[in-house]
Amino acid sequence: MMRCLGEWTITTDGVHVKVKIFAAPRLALESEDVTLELQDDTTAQDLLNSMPIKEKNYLYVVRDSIRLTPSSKLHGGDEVLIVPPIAGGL
Amino acid sequence: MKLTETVVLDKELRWIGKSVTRRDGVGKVTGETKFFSDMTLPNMLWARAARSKYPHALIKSIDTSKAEAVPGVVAVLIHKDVPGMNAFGIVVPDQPVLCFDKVRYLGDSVALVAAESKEAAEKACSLVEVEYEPLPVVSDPIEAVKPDSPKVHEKGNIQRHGSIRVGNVEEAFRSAAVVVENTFRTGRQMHMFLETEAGIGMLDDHGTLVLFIGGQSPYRDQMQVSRALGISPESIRVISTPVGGAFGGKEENSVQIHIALLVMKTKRPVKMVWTREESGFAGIKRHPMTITMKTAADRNGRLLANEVHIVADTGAYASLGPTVLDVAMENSCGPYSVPNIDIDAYLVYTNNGVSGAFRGFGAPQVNFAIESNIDIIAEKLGIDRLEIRKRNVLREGDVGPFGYPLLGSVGIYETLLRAENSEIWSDRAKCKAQRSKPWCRRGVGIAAAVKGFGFGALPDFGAASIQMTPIGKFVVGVSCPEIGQGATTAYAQIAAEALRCNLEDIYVASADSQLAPDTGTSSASMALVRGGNAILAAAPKMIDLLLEAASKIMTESKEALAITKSQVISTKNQRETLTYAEIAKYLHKMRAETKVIAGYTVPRVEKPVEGSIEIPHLSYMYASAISLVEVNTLTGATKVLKVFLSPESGKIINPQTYTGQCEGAIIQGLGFALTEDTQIENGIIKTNNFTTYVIPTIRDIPEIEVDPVETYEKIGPFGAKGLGEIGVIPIGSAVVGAIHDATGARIFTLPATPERVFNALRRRMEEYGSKNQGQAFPRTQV
Repeated sequence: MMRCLGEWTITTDGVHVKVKIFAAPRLALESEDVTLELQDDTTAQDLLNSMPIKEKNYLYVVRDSIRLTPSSKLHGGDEVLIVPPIAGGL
Repeated sequence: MKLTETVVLDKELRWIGKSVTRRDGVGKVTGETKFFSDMTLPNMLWARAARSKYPHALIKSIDTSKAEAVPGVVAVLIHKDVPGMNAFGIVVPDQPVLCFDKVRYLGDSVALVAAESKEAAEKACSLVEVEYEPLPVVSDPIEAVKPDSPKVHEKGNIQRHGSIRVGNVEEAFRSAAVVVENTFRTGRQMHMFLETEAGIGMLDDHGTLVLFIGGQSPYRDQMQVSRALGISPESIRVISTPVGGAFGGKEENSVQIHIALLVMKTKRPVKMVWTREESGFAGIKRHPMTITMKTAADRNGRLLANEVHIVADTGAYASLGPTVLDVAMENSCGPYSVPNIDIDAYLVYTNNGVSGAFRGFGAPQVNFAIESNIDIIAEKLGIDRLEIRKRNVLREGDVGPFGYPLLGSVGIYETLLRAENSEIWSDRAKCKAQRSKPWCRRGVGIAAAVKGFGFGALPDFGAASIQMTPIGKFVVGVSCPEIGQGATTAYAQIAAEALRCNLEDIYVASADSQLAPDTGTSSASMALVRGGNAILAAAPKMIDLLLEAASKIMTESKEALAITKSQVISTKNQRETLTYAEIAKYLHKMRAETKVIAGYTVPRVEKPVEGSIEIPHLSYMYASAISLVEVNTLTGATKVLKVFLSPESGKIINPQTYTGQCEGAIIQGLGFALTEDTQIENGIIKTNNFTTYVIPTIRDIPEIEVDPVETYEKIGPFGAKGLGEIGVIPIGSAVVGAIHDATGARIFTLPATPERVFNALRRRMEEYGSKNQGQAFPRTQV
């Protein structure tokens, strides 16, 4: 059950990654419909770098409920979520 | 793959629900555990921050030349030495790592010193010359919101305004049998953990920055350090346990970035330990709140409407304040069904330190307001205080106050039944009749509480890893730190249960960003549920790996194999077995993969309630509390004699640690109720040590009875649910309810200090006199 305020498909030479962005307005994303071209061997950090987002250091990438390190490789068919740090509670 | 009957032979739970001894218990109780503040490293430097001399001032210039000249000083850093983002703050990064243009409270840092000795570091800090232009101090959050108030931040003093409307409160007020409106104030509680904010950092042989800092999330610390230093998080390793107490106060950055900067500058190990006084004026506190609440009910005591106005003092910076405000709003109607709600809540900047996360996270403050109003309504309608709560509490299958279904278990009614049958409630007349002195009076108070566990509508994930060792044991990687809640032991119990092995065969590698995947934070009463579920997601993968290997060794199809008691067994011929140790030997010989990782996503709603960030949660914790107090009517001093707490527990993983959590929460709640309030005058803290800031000690601990209602929480591992915060929430309300029951005096400001209780008693007497032609208040009533 992911809330998806921005969603687009990234197309590369063999890596098709579905990207969801949490809280897109907070990240000052103007459009929910963006197509980005990435290089091969795309990493989580490459993905963040390709986003039209000012403060990328706030963000991390999650795949299958697991937070990726910046150098984690993305694979064809991946669905990833980009989230800012969040909090609540004790 | 899931744990199915075909895979697991023995169904009986061996470890869940058992009071196994806490793994960190003996070391902490005997004092043998060494915390990071006890640690030293060869060639280590001591660090100290030069702090602001004013609560609010412009910085005109900074001169560090005299500080640098102090013998033994190795490095002095100022704002221009911060290579990355010169700001931190989990939700809103609005606090400078090192101030450059302005200071907003006495805890603000303007320079950092690393020196060969503590004394040299301290002397150098005193010689950092900063030219200030003092500004007017903003100390009253109510005044701070006025347009002509001096601005703490350029954008103004209202950090956040949250508002939620449900139904029509005005209409409900018009039709109500009773409407009560009161203003409540709560104190600025300090965490007062025994270990202050402290840590040590170094560069390892690979050039990795290693930070040993007790905290509540190694990955969140890694993120904040990474962005301040402008380096990859992969080059930072954070080890966050052991922790000498946290309670929410170590969720935010404190020493982390400062240590990291000095390690990178000096290339030497650096240690920083805040003094108790420093922890007092620079550390995080509980948000003081002013809550005006107007509550309406019909003649049967059914709640009709609740109008809530909250002003929360977040101090100089936001920290976790924006989400604390959400939790206050979400819980302002208590665990009750209220059809019409109107909430306006403001998070306000002042120069009063910094407020942030503290066990309960905004809920204890509003609980005091709603529970007091319920008591007053009950009194006006002549309805028993427990009965009115039973008539209004949410029940299983109900829709929550903001229109969302309650997904998790809802056992608040059952906890009220336990409270009703408790000795101090059922025999309250007898309890009240006793007194230690003729001028003392006893009373019994009741309160009900609710709080969601987890991050509500915000995304929340956690992963866990399991690795088989060469001798057939398991290393479970979970990054949620052990902060005294017993999480490590619970994780071991869950893993041993899922893997059908002995408890001693599980080693929990916790709170190390290099050894464990990101399991999220130890916060929001969520570490058990998130971490436990992540382990349960990883366990089937490990079982699959074991069965796959066993299938090859035993030349048996995987489908004909099952696990039981640390071995794989053939379901066709149960005499054919293979121990985990034998499988481990095979896997390591074959150099096969021995580690699995899996994640868990916490269920949440698609869209938060309008006007909020994270409301609603889908699962909540509930509890009812009763307290018996004795009030000295000559001095106003209140002694709590007994507390009964009935939480709705879900499945209890470890009864012993469960009871311990509840007892700790109750005692912290008693501090919130009776003594704890950081005094700040014109931005200057007056109570920053254990002499002037009074927390409950062993002499103040009452008799405590914990009687959980065990249920099954749908989203929890083995049916468990969150616990850490719920016990603290109703205590203040139950205590002031008891003070009123004892004396007739109503308390509207916490803590209920002797002075406040005495003044409330005097007001009560004066009101009686004015209503009864000047007659003295009957001695039998006070």
